[in-house]
Amino acid sequence: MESAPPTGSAKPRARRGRPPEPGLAQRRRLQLIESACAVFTERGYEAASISDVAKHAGVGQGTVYRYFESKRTLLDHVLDHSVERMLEAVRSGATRARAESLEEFIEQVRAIAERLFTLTQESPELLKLVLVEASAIDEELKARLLGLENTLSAMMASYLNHGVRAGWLREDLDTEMVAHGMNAMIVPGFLLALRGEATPERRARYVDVLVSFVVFGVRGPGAAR
Amino acid sequence: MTDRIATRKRELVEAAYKVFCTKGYRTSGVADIVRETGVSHGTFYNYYDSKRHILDDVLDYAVESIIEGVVGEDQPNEATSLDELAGQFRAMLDRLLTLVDEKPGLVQFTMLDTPAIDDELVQRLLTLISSFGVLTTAYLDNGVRRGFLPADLDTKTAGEGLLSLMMYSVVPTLRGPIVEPERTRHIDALVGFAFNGMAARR
Repeated sequence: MESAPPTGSAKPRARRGRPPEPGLAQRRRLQLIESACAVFTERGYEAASISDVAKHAGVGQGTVYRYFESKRTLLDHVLDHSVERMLEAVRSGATRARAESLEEFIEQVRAIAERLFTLTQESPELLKLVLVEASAIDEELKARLLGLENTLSAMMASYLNHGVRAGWLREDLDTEMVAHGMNAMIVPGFLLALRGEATPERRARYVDVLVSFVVFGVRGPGAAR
Repeated sequence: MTDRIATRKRELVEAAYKVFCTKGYRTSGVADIVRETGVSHGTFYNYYDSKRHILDDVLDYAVESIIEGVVGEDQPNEATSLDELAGQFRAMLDRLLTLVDEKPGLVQFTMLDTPAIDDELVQRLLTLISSFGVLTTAYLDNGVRRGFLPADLDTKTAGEGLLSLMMYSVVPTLRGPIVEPERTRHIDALVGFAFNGMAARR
């Protein structure tokens, strides 16, 4: 809040404290969210405290409370932040240019898989926090995450509808339902990363096999009925 | 371990499983478990140190009974054609969803609450999931051996794909029970996805 301007002096005195720096508040918020990401994933949400977050960010606890009213509010922002990264990974693979053939579709699915894999490997603990731990914290968070899964599926479904209309995806494909199945394909990579087995070779094979699984099912591209 | 001890432990584990699924792990205590079995606190502590201690056994028991319930009659080496295998997968999905209908807290307990507790449990859960993955792989190995699945299929990875679909199939139940006609549509879509993928066949 602004204090009343000083009166009675010839020249306005410099305000106390740090001069306002453009964008500082936003940068500080982001910095705190990133620290919270780090602390929550390292210590677990339950065990982590605001003072841990403050220490990690190198600020006082008061500063954290100036931006976020509670640990739970911080978690909301950590989720938004992480989810945005996941959505970005999918979007940048899928919607930049609409696939116009099965071959292009396969390339895009592969690009999405690669990106999600990278994200999973960079921060498996963060994904664990977002995908698993958060849902256990309260009903509101669980509902939010389920809603998000729906949004992601709807995005995928509209993308798949195009392929059905164009004739390179099967005409009887239940795109709305299958989109959820596509989301499920993040699970194997996630498990691989959590088990600490995601070597470059394993990863490359996983992407190959799972892309083929998504496109052709277990019977593979060859066997036409 | 004598039979009597094993039986008593089993009773406690089954009771704890029921309590954790209905009341939630965080909000339930040893008192709820002993109330469920009718034994005294002292008896509980003869076998387990704490709620967290019994949880290890409860988780093993939960996953074992889920696998047993889901597999049912459909053994991995039985299918002789792709259609039969798809039928097995369909039946397994159906049984999994029925299991969840009967014990609505099951998904929340195994997939969400447990891994949130500590890292040791995450590792334990990963091991249990892996043993489930070995099983789904066995169904695909059977198909390759009998020649109705491609010889070059990476059954281990594809098996994890199948398993992931199964695990994911129960996610919508966190919102509430899946009822007909959505239930059949849900199963149809997942079976079609696993066996035919998405591409149009030319």
